[in-house]
Amino acid sequence: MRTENRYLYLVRPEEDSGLEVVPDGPLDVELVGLDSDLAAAGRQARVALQGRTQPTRYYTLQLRARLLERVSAT
Amino acid sequence: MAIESIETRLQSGDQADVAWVPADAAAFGHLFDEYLPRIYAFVARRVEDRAVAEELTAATFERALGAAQRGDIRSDLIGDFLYRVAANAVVDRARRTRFIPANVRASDFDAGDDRLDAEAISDAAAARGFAAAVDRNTLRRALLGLPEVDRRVLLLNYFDGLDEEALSAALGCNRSAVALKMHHALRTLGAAMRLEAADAD
Repeated sequence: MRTENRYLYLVRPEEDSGLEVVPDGPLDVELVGLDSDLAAAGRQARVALQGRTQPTRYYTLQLRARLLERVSAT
Repeated sequence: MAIESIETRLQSGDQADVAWVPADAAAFGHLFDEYLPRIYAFVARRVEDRAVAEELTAATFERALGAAQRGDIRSDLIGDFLYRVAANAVVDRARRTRFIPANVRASDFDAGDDRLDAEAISDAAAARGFAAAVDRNTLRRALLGLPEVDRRVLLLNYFDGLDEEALSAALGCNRSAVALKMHHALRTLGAAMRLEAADAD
């Protein structure tokens, strides 16, 4: 949700819009602050877990070589 | 792009002129370098065990490569495909192992949808990791108490930081449905926070 439609989900949908209609209208101001708090927490959490959630260099090279070998074999 | 849309395109046969044939190792290497850190992080936030995260990530890329070699996916959709496969791999692993985290009640498994149960298990670690970064007590408690279906979409958006396309792929629905799910989840969270605040008074 980081594109030009970043705030699409903050728009209050029409009651009968169904799931195929993109909401269109003013932002639901009640949710804007909540969105901001959650986005900040998400950034902080990703940074805090950065080391544990990144692949090791050894693993990366091993998997890369294995897959590239498969590509080259075709 | 939702996986259904991808499958619809494939079934319609229009992939023939646009399918990605990964004969070019350099092109595949570029995609691998771009997506491996993202997909690995997505998995590692949920399984917490490095060996398992490595296994599931490798299986995800192998499946994507196999699909690409068969001409089943286009190069511009491979990122979405990877998120979809990774999300399913994590859920399938939770279903197989049936490990019950501390904040999930065993009685939750007495009845109900098996996939929803497995999603709840697979999201438990992510929910803990995300909640630990939330400063406000009422927001943290409300988040952890949310229905699984609402918490899942919030985790994917805010904790994983997925963009629209990846979010659609991971949830298996179109962008409009994603927006509505997000909106519903945020409103539910807001209501839960008001209840938490009232209880604290």
